[in-house]
Amino acid sequence: MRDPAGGVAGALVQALGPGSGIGVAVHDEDLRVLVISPSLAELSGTRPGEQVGRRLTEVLPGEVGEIAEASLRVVAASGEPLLRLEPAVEAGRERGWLIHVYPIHYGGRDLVAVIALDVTESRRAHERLQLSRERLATAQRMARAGSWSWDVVADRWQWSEELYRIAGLSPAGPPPDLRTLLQTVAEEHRAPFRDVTARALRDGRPYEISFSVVLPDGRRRILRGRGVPVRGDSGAVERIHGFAQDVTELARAESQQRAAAEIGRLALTGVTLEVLLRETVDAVARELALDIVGVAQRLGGDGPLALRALSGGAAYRERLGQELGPESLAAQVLRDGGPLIVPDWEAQRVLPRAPLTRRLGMRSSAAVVIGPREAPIGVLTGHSTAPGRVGEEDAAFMETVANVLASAQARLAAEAEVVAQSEARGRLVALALDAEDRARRSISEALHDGPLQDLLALGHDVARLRPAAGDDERHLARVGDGLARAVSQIREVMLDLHPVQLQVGGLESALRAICAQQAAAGGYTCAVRIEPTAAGRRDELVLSLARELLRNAGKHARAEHVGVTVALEEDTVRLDVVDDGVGLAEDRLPEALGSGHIGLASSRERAEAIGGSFRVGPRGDGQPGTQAVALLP
Amino acid sequence: MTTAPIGHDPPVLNGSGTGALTRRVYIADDHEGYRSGVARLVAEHPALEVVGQGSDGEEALAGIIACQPDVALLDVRMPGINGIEVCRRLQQEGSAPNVRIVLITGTPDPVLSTQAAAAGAVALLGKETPPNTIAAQLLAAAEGRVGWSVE
Repeated sequence: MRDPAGGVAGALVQALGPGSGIGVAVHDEDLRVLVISPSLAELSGTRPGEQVGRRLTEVLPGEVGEIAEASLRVVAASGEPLLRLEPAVEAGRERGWLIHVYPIHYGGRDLVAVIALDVTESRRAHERLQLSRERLATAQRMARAGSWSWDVVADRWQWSEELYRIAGLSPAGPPPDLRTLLQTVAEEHRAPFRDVTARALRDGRPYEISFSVVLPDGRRRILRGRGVPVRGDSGAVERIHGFAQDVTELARAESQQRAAAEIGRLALTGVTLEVLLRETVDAVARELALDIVGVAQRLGGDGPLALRALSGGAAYRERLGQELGPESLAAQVLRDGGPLIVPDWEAQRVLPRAPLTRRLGMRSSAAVVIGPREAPIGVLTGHSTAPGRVGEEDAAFMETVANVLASAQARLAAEAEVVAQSEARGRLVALALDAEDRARRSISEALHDGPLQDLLALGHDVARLRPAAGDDERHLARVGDGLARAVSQIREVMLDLHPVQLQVGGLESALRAICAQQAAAGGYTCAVRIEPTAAGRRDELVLSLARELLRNAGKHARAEHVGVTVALEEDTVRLDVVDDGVGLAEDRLPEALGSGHIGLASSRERAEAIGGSFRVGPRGDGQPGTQAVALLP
Repeated sequence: MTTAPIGHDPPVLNGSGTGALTRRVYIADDHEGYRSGVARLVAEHPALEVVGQGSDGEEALAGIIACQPDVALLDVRMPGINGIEVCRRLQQEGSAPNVRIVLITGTPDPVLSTQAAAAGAVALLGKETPPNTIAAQLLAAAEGRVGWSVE
């Protein structure tokens, strides 16, 4: 036979020098080297010339040579090719060789050929690719996002592993086709899903879509997807790349945030605790998809728990308002401090099972304490008939809601205290004013019954005196005038203090007397109208307010005419004092009430002390002037 | 006590101009000084005589029923029952049908006048009314010569 290493083939073999990455050798029937490229010889650490005519066991040391020669023997004996990867270390660097061993027939001889490929670099590239794939998968897993690619022409799909997981499918199976995919989309989202896909195929524009899928186990997930169509040479869309992200948790968190904020907002609108609790249990049941949600509140701040609000659990509704026993879940949580999460009552042996959960067939429960740990005010509980329906995140949402409730409760308590204090203050003001009224009245009566009568009696005595001397008549007249003046002054003072007419002549008599007095002092005319039914209810206060307002009408408003009306409106006495004076700018009223016009401020105090109101402003009929209205229940 | 005839017909006057009879007056006022002054005035009047005095409403009511005077001068403001109320009760009960009541007050005003008239009094006087005028008013009232034009 011809020298196998001769000719063109021999030149090619010789050209494969060290570092070329390809090694070639041919062995004869005795497995001796017939021909070997320098690159392969270098792998064994010898020169090519030294290996020709020798077996590998003679060239390669120890076990390596044995294994290599055994491979050749297997191929020579079986006539089947063999492929193996040979790790090697060259100059301290790990290298990998892919070695093909196969039988060849050449010139009637059965030879064995070896072709070795240095795959170190391609193996590294492969490893890098693998690593990058793993990183992508990790990122997709973390983002709950999966990518896909649809070869429209061949109708072939490629799905990333995470996309399988998101869709609740096994990555082992093939990706579903479009029809199977549509089956998993929630029914109400199928049409939009189809439309968006069809439009992308038509116009080739990127698109986004949100839709829900129903997993094989019945749970719903909310997905947000994006697709980027790719056009082929013909201009038609041939492929769509896309990704889909599972935003269920995000959407749920957003919805829960909104719900908690809504409860907080409601708490600020001044609704009662009753309404707030009712709205809260409904919101928690809705957000967490629970079957029963309840709020138990401690009675009297630190007493036993009573059920205050309930969502769902119709069979349990008769317990509303009733005390909960120490064996109830709420009582247990209150003792332990919570939060409590029971994924499945039937799979746990730690807690004593609360009677309610057993009776109503509840499988999973969560409960959190409302209010500060050291002084809890209640417990929020939630239950589901399905196991595993409550977890850490649900309990976290319930705690958020519980915090909103606790602050609402604290605010309501503070408001109640303000109301109580304001009522107490009102009572004190009323008491003080009553005391003042009594003092004025008793002084006025003392003036009437004492000095006034004395002076009047004295007047009679003087009137009956007969002048004895020439000057006496003049003196007597002067005394009489002086007495009359004193009587008149005392009457003025009495009207200011308290009109004694009130007791005999009633409101009309007393009010007319005051009006006449103030009208004379203020230089205006005064018309009085009193509904008989309005008298005898708040007479003292009506007189006091009217006196103050009439004095203002003269002093500040410079009125020419004043009208005073006392009427009865649904068991409330209404006093109107209307003048045609210069008026009082409305924006100045608070200031006037606050500082300048002590009288007006005290008038308002007096009206409010009995639960009434008092306001001063422009006239209701639009005419220039001021109108004061006091409502006295 | 005199035995003057009871009735509200004007007394018959004789030609000499002196009263054939004196009019009997009851006086009630819680102010002792004022009351005694008026009592002296009445006592000094030739045609009037004081038949009883009281210092509060209850006393006045009982005294008027007991004395059946021709005219009673009642202070409006008195402890217990006030003058207008005494007047109203006498009117309602009819227990002194012929007595004319004149009210007197330290704080006169038109509303009080209206109420006095409604209660059945024939006049309301201010306490500063000169003594002679008071006496004249009492006599006129006793003789049925004063009255209100109030329905």
